[in-house]
Amino acid sequence: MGSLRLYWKFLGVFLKSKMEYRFAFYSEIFINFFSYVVTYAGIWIILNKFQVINGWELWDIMLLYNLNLFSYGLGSLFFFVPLQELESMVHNGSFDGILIRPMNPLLHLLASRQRYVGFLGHIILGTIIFILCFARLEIEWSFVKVLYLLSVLVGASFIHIAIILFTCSISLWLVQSMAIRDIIIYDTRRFMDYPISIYGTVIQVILTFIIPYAFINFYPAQYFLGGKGGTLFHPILQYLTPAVGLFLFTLAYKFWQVGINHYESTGS
Amino acid sequence: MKRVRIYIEYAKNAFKERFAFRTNYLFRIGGRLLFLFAQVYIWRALMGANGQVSTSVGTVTLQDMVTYIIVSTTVATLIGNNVIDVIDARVRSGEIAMYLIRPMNFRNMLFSSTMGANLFNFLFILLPVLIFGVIAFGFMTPSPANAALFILALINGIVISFFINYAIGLLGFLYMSIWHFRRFIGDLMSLFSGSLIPLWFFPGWLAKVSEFLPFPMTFYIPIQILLGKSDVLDCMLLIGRQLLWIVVLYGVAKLLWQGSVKRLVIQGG
Amino acid sequence: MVIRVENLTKEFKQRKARAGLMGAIKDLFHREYRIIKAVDHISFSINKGEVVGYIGPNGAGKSTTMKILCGILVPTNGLAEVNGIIPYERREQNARKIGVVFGQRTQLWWDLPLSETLDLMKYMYDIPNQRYQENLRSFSEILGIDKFIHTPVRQLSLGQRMRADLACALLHDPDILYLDEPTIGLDVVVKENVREFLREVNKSRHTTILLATHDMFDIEKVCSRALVIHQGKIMYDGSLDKLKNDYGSESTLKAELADTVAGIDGLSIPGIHEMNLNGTNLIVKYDKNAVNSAAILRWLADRTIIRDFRVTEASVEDIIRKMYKGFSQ
Repeated sequence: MGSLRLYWKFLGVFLKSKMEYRFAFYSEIFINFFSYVVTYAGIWIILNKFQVINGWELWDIMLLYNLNLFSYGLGSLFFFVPLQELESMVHNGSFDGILIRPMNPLLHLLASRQRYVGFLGHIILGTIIFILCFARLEIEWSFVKVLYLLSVLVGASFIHIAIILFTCSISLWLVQSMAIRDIIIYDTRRFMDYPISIYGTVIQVILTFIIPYAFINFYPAQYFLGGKGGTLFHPILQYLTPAVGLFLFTLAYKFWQVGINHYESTGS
Repeated sequence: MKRVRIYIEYAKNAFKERFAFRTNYLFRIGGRLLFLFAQVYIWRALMGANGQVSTSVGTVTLQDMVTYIIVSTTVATLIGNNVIDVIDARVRSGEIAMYLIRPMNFRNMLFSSTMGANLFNFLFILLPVLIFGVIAFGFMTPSPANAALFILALINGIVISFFINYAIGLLGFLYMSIWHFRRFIGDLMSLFSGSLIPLWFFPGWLAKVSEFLPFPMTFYIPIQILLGKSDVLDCMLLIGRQLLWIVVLYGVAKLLWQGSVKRLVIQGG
Repeated sequence: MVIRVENLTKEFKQRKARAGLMGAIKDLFHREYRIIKAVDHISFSINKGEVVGYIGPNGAGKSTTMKILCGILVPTNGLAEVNGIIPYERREQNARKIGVVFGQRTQLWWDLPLSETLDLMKYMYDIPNQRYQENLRSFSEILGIDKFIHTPVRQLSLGQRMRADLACALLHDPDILYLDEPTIGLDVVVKENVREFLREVNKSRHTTILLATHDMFDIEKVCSRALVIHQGKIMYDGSLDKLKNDYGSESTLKAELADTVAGIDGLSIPGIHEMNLNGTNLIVKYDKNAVNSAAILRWLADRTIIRDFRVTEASVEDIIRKMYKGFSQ
């Protein structure tokens, strides 16, 4: 059976076995759900007091944050936990067990290490917030707009996936790569909590052209909000998220492949 | 006196352990600085042209807020301790049984370790970030009285934070898997401690709720004292509330420890 | 020829840490490396159906060789060919025809019951259902895996896990089975079960087996040929019988005597290599083909009281050490 079909088959087996432990299943989801409810409460508190930040109001910010949250949940659901484990697998030699099988190594890793459903919490909350946002914001919906929303969500997930894949692949070279990964994934991503128009040009350039987080939520949000806060760099950026996602994922995958080659040359 | 020596040894060991992971810590400083950076921008954008806003404690200027986040970011290195992880590790390895046998107080030992780790964090993370923050963004100089009260309140805050984490850690021992609960408390802590959002921005009803929680004792109260948002009498009251919480948490921790000992003795770990 | 290895070499770069504080500072700017030859110009070939024991101490190069043959490590120089293809160039293709068991690390999925992993293997290797059922049945017969097939893998004992790993490795009828220390840590009963299984598999399916191990009994009970490697070089390649005769004949007798024996030098039976008397503890090293322990014990019993004794056969290390003495002369 081809690697991709095998992957889906494995996922089915995992899901079935996970659902047998109902408490773990529900509590993983709930804890994440609650966590981000608290985060949204924080956003609400601030915007309730200050009303506006750089032209963006409460529900604009909610949409902005939610685009990030939802796509992060979607991408991480499949990629986060398995790729996190790569570091320890390389360290104790069990990664060899992944390469021994006649299956695409990335898919094999993703399938065999899938054990966490918590990101469904992000997705469920994200869906609810989207519904609330779209109810409050006055967006003129069309078929094209809906289609674009879906492709933005997919594209943004791919950006998240690309970042996870890229930072975790470093384990194939360096042993203690966790700190690098943390700083890129967590610390830099916080800048996206608010519209990047509040930052200086240097940061905007970095977040657009170097570590393109802005395509996850800022530019798509501007599209749906009618160019809120003024155009940054060029209006076309609002349409590029799906393309950026695909592009970055391809780059990250190539990087992973180079990493595999390196691993096979140097062993552990 | 010999006892104190042992605890100092634990503190020293924790310090040395942190020191061994030197390479990681440059990234940790970087992470803190990035965070600080983003926060300053966010508050600048929020406070807007006026540069000040009225709150439940009076007028708050941008300079106040910048000082707030600099102190919050740096103090976080002392408050976020990994007591829970340490307890969890000891429980898993079974070492916790040893502490029943030794003529030593588990809690005090943990506290000493935490202080050792905090000393490292203070010297090598807090100070660099603080210096950078002050140079880059400026700092509101406090009056000597406020500074002294701040130190006092901060110490209380560190103790309270320790007790909260210690209690959760012991709960973990009693109920095996408290990963979810720990995160749950952590989320509440992040909101109600005032580490990200000073409580003076909270709507009235939410501020009232937070008065019943120990979390604001760690960040909000010390920093509020430092910024001189309360007069001396109010500061004393706030510190008094902290001391009250310390007593309460001390009692809770003692109960939990006794429960843990019972559980250990009956079940054999 | 199913496996062919010609002048295979694998070098690793190892960082050299310089001594002292000055050294640590120098290392920050310019690291020094030493080259380790894990495998050094080795050549051998294995035919279909052979069961070869790959012997050598830790770090000799066994695992490195196996990894290259499995296609997960790329050699520095030389050629490795398995079933006509180069394993590290056609990893997936090669993987379909081989079964691998690493002694210390399982390849089963930790959270799932064994039955689920086996079922997934069916799809991964495209095993026809009938063959799959047949194999399951015969594995249950010999290895007894049906008794724990529904247990989650993480709850299995070491012995059960090893048998599960073996079943999993052979489920798809591979041409070649690679085993890296499969019996390490197992109790005697399970070890014997595993060896019996390997013999059976080789007999009925003509599976070629390459077994890397420290355990001399593994070799003796399962293999017909011995390949000895040390510091990356092949020291011996030949039949097992020849190896035992040439190098494995020295046994050691340890005896605890009631009191010291005067005139111990009088124990001059031909075939004794070495004698060491320390108070009441006596160690005798002898050629077991020339003299047996009973003769020595009889001699001792005539002169003193033997409190306790033990006879140990030549260990793998003893054999290899002896081999090197032979080679360096």
